[in-house]
Amino acid sequence: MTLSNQERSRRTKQLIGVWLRRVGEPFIIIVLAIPALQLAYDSFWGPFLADPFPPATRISGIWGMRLLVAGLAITPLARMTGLAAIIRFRRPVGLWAAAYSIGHFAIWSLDYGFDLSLITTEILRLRYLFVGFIATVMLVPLAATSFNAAIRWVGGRNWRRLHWLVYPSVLLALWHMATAGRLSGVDFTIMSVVTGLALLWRVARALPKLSTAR
Amino acid sequence: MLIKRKRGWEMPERDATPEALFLDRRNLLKGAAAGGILASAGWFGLGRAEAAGEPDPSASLYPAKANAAYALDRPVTAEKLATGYNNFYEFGTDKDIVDRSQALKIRPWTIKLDGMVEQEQTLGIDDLFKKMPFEERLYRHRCVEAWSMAVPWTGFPLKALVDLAKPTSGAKYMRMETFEDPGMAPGQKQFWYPWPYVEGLTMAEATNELAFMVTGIYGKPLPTQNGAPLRLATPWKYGFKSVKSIVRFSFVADRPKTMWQTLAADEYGFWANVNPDVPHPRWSQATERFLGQSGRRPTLLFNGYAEQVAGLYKGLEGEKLYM
Repeated sequence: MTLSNQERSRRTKQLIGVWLRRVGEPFIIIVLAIPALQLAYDSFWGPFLADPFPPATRISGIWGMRLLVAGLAITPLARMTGLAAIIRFRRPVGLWAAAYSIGHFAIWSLDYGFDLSLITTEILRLRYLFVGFIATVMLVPLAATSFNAAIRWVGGRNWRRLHWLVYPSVLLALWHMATAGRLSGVDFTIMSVVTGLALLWRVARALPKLSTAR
Repeated sequence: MLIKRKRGWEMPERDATPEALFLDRRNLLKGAAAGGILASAGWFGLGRAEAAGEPDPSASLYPAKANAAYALDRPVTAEKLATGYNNFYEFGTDKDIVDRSQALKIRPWTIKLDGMVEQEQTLGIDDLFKKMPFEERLYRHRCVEAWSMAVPWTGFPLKALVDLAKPTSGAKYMRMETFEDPGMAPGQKQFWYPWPYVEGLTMAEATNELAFMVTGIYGKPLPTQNGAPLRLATPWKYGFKSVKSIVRFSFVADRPKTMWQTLAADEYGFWANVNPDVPHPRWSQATERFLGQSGRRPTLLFNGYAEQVAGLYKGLEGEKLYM
């Protein structure tokens, strides 16, 4: 039996899709736990033992940021490559982004002994902390509504509207990172560029729709 | 009204280190010295320099007699923390620079005393050591990043070096400079830092009894990561003032511009005195993490040395003394 090129390419994509679903997704879920495990090891038994809070705060924050930006890039990548199956990576990537970001805030708070009045004072006193705090808070409803049941309960349209929050969250997080201090130049540059491209892609796609709607 | 300013040795009984702890400290130091002997035999590969078969030429100066006036309100930090967690941007911006700093060649090492002095001098480090009165002091150390430790430093008062240099009356400040050799120190290849590392003190600060030139730690010569072969300890100031691996002392009329001032003048100033009530622009200085202990402890004004140094800043209230 001979297949047309079109048919062959369709089948290849289908096969890749199956693999991405069956192997790719569990793989992503597990792999993204590695930085957290590594951080726990370094802090309790490894090189950060002397003073674990500064590196633990920094590294958890950087991973939250990386995954947040990666999550933003998935949809454009899926559309451009035609590999719609990678869309399903958005959920584990996004959930891990929220986990690292909330963990980042928790580690920072633990450094101050979870002293609520001190933490509040600091967040209100320093703009970069306030900005980062808001960015993290915005991720909470997104993480909480990431389960199928929640999506059904909220309704697809509302869910989509709610998840628009990810854009201000990423931008605020980038602002936080840029002003938090000695930033890793390479990391920050990559994240800004990827965020910029992902947003541009969405704007470019939305523009024709808006103009035809008029 | 009689204002009695207490001298360093007139401390209240409550601040004295309990005798048991003090005796135990000596034992710890003896134990550490024994460890050094084992390492020089190359048994455990401890202490890289010794294991390499190059005994430090100043080794005979250790352990120096402890100056009991400088005791502490807290136990001494574990040696492996104080010698394994180091800010030394010449070898990288992380704290784990021990291995990279081994590239620093600490002999031969010359010290230049210049500027407004009776006569400029250039001395070999070991010749300088022969002229200096060695002793051991227990000092607190508070980093601007809000971590702290307590260390037994060996060295001599900075005043002894100032007396040797014989500055003229025009000298108002002392400028200190770290070595510059990008071949040994890869961090110095990073062109966006204004190398070499420069720090400074007023003459009054430099001749204060607390200002200490450090050559050793835990009863042994300084390891490279702690700023061998000669560094400053100004325990009432944030740690970045305590410049490492010094090659040059200049006596000058104008306030020197420090490396950290050049990099971020709004965050790191010339004075940098420890004050829990004056936060860093990006974090609180009210408390600190003492290496090896969990939780935070309150930071003290002038890092607990207010009695000795607060008087240095009379009439300077208009200056940014605490950043």
